[in-house]
Amino acid sequence: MLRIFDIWKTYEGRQLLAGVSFDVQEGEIVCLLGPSGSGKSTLLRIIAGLEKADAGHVYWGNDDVTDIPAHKRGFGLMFQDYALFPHLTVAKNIAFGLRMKKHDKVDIRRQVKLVLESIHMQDFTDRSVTELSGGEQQRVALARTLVTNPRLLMLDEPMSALDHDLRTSLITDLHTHLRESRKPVIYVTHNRQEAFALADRVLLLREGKILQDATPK
Amino acid sequence: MSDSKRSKLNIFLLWLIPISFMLLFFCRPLLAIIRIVFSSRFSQGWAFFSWSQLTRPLFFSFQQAFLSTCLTLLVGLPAAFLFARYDFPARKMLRAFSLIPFILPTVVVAAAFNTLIGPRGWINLLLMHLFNLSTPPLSILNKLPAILLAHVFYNTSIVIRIVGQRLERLNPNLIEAAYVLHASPFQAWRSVALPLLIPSIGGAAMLAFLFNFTSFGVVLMLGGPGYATLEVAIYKQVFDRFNLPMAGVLAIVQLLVTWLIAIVQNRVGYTRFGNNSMAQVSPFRHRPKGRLEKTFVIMMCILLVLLFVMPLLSLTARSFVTLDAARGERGNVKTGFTFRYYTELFRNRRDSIFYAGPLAAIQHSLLYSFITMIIATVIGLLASYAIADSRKRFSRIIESLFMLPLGAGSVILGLGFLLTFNHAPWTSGSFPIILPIAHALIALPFVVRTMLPAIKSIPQNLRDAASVMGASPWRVRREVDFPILTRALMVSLAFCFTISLGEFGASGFLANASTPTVPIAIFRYLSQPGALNYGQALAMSTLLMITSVAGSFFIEHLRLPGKTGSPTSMKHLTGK
Repeated sequence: MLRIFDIWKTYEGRQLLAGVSFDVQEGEIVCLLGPSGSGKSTLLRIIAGLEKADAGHVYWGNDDVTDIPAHKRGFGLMFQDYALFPHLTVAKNIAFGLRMKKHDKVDIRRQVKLVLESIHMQDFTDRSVTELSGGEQQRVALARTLVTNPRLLMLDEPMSALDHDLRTSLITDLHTHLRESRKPVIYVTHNRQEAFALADRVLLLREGKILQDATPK
Repeated sequence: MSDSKRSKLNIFLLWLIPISFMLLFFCRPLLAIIRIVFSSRFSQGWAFFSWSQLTRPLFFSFQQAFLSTCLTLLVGLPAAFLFARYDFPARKMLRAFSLIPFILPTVVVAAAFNTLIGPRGWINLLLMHLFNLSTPPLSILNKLPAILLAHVFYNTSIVIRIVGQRLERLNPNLIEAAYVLHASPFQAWRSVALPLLIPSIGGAAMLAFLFNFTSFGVVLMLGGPGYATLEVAIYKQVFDRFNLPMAGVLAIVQLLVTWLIAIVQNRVGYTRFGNNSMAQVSPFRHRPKGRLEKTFVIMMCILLVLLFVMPLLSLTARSFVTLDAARGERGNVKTGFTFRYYTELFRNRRDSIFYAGPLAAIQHSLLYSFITMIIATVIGLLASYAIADSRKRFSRIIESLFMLPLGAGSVILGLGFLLTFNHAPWTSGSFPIILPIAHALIALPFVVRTMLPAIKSIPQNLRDAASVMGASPWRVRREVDFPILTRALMVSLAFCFTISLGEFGASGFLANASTPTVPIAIFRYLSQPGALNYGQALAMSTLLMITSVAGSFFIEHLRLPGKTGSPTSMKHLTGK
């Protein structure tokens, strides 16, 4: 499905990624595990098309998508700080991607309603996102990413903004959502337990290289 | 007496002085304005009143403020974008230059534009020389374009500061999230960045509008006789027509309109989107790439240099050059570099003790600033302590009372003072004490805005620790508070000094012929014929400009407790 081939990137004179290659199969959840500063987020941004690699390619099936801009790639990315639009309500945040894809209003309303129900937040429709708790924000961010039906789903440390107790309770939830979506998933984290609880495969990234590629269990 | 009773008494005493000051020197003059309108109305009917003398300046105030604000946004928004998004050589210097105008006294700005576009300005001299003309070909001075140009010069810095700061701290993840959600770059800017910037754009526009609406010095000196905003009309009613009640009517209208604008401005400016939309750093800035970006950066730099650097350079340069004849000199004039305008400042040419020369004006100005510093700092310090010590709801009301002089404007204060204190003992002798008091009122909001956060930032447990170790309440203030407040105090003093030194509106009403301040002297010299008068006006303007810039540099570089490192003077004005 997704194939990352020999990605190189230096940032401010530092070698961040040094020839990273891997692939992700359909419905597979791949965890990128590594300490902070190991280049995980940069790799995600390169895959999403938000940043350009110095060298290397990103393939989707047989298509080289390396030079396709982010908004045309059809990949979903959930940001570490969720990046919810503070000037929009919960429903409008979720509707944003559909609006950009020029869905008609009736369809947008229907889909937003469905997705809000699936995350049990149907009562939050017209709330401002700045009033939400950390856990609620995370669910909205995930819903916003999933509703546009991206062909690949990327999550950048989605648990890092939450406290420990919430994390353990949400991780099963998240796991179900990811499984149900049947999409290829790249999940970035520095937390070993999180990685092993979720992933079909764990890639260990250190000093810009993939040191280990293994299945947990 | 119980402790709680004593502390209540202390707070009351603390209040007594600043509140009395405000009642006597702010509320009473305002009431005097209202009174003169109504008493004239009852004694002589509406004879003093003329609709056209109200509607004409009112309409012109709105018209020029609207045009100036539109033009300011037209320059300011791309400039804010330029500084927030692009790295280029001399970026810092150009940005610093573009923020200078805001702190310049109006007389300096008027003098600077006079040297650039005036009949004796560089552009006209150049054109006359090139095409062998006998009269200056460019005549936009004393017309609307000159006013608009000066207003754009003044207020672009507001847009750069308010919108630029917001733009720099816009969380880049939000824009990228929009990209990932299928938004094109244009859509991302339109549906994410723009809505987040709108409150700051609106706030900056309203503030610029407010300043343009209440513009006095610029319109008086750069606009011709046909152009009067409400404030200029008030001045002319008093000094040209001696129609005080009509001036009072104009003042009341002006007050109502400015307060209305201020209320709207507060509403617009306070929309907040939480911390989520703010990033701490500015990862957005990069070197211009591609032809389009490079052209944009170069064009903007040229525009900003023309707008901000040229007038100031032109003023400085012109103050060192003899180009035309002084009064009484005929025939061939030696043109070239000269220090003469500066050395003449310190000489009493007319050998007359009644003549107040530039040196006298400088002496007066320094003396007034010194007294202003003392009055405003003492009253402001007492008021800040009183506000910090009393209950929240009450303190908020009183805090806004001390901000009111900012909204009233110096011309209205000047008028009120003229009506209230134009008699002994206030004007006794050769020294109008009311002038530094008026300056102190104008500086007071700045002092309170500086001292109050600093006082609030002192942790209570430091004071508690001191009293546990045996320090009396007064001793606590001396040993704990004052050392911590030193910096804020220095900033307050600098504010008072620069405000008083450059103040023009109130001084125009209150300075008498023998005791002019530097701005008043510049105003008089600029309008007199002869190269020497002109040159001296420019020399004084240059000195005043350097002092103001030095003062604000000092203010900006003393980081204050209770604030994070961002520039302070704008914060003081906008209250954010």
